[in-house]
Amino acid sequence: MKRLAIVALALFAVAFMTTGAWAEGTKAGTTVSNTAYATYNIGAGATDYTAQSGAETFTVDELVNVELVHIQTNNVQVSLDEQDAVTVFEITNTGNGDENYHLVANSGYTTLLDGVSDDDFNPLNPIIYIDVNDDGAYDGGDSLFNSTNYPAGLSLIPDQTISLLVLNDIPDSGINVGEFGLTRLSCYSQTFGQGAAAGNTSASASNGANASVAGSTAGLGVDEWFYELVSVSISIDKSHFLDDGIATGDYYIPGATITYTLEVSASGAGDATNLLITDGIPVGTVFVSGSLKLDGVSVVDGSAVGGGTDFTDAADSDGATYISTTTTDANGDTCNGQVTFTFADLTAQALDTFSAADGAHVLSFQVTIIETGVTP
Amino acid sequence: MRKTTLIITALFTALLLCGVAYAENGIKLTNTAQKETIVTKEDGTKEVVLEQPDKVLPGDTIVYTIMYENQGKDTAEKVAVNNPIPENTLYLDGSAQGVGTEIRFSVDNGATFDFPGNLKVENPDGTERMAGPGDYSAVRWALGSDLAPGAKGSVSFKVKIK
Repeated sequence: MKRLAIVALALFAVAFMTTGAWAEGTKAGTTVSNTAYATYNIGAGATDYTAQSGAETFTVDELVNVELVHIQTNNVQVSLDEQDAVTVFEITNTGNGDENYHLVANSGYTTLLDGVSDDDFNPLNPIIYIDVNDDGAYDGGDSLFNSTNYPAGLSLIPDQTISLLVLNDIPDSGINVGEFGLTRLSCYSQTFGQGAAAGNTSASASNGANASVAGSTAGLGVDEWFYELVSVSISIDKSHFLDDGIATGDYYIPGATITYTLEVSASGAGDATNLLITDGIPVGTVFVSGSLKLDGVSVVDGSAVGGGTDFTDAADSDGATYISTTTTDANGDTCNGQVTFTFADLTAQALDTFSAADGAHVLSFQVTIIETGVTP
Repeated sequence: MRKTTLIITALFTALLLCGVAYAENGIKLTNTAQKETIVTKEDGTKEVVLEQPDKVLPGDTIVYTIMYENQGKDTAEKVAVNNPIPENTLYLDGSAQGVGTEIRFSVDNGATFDFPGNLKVENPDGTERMAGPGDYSAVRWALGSDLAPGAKGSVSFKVKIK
């Protein structure tokens, strides 16, 4: 996938160089006026005379140009059935007049803009948001771009750049880890439309100019970026320690305490979110109240799944919980209640997304044996 | 920058109004602007086309031609034509022409004029550098000979629209 990113960057560089017109220039509608003067004498020692021409004026017309580029440098990592995955683009009015731009997102293409490579899957349901707060992320303040909200397109003054978000849903099946799908964003100017060609002219009276001229970009912009399906797997290494109060030998006798340790780590690519780890309390034992720990630090037991001490300082619902209800575990064994460690919606915090880079985290709890015949 | 230019233009106009006299039927100046485009013909050769500035865009080249004619009864001496570079344009290097004239430029909005090699402008750090065509704020053509009644001529220069 690195290779892909480099190709895209190279394309971008070429586009950048050939487009050339970074911008600006005298604003459309500006009047340029020229007046000439003459000075001369008549007769020796006579008065100085002067003459002045009329003012020769013309109006600078609108040059319509635009630049549309993707922003991310690595493929956007997504998981199966992920909703609202985000690619980020930027649009810049590189013309000299106020201009409106219509935006079109399309994820149904197979062949890349390079005309050579193909993608592997089609991301679903592309929608466009104006990244109002310019943070490159989709959040509440962003504005949905559609023909209802922006009937005349997105208005940009010369040199103005606005960040755009294309949101996609990822199919829930039929694609494999490592495969990628493209999403493409294009734009066209209100003045010249989709079929514009460089050099087209329009007598539109916008900007106070007499005419508009389609520049080298013809007011058309297009770029694309990629989602890559990644997978992370979570492994849990469970061990236990018996404290029977007897110096030699291990005796699973009533009154002995077993400390269960769950070492959790991630492998593979990508991040795991909404991680929920549950473990049953063996029959014949009871949970030791207050024994829930994360990385050796006690956490307060919550009254429901997701309750208890917040593992991180994020205001979310992660925490540890003991529930006394008799349950059946994954092996079909009856349990005397269960403990749950919840890493719910942990974003941008130390434990937030669980990836291989996080190393291992240790969850632990204790039970006391109350019956004979208990095995750990 | 714009403000300064405006003030200086205003001062200049004021000087014109009170310091010197207008000559009835003296030298008449006319001033025309044409857009210069270079067209590649079918045989591959290039042709310079001058046309009315109907569509003018940033980067376009404009040719200004100033025609002068002595419509008075007396010979005009020490004739000089002076043209401030229009706002939003840049003087194109080497474009000022005028047969039999001495051409000087100003980098101080017309207060003083000199030949290109003698003009200097101040850098932001206070040091001086040689002025370039982009620094010119006015052109002045001094006619090398007197202008007899009925005599006429023209001078020209080019700018690029910023």
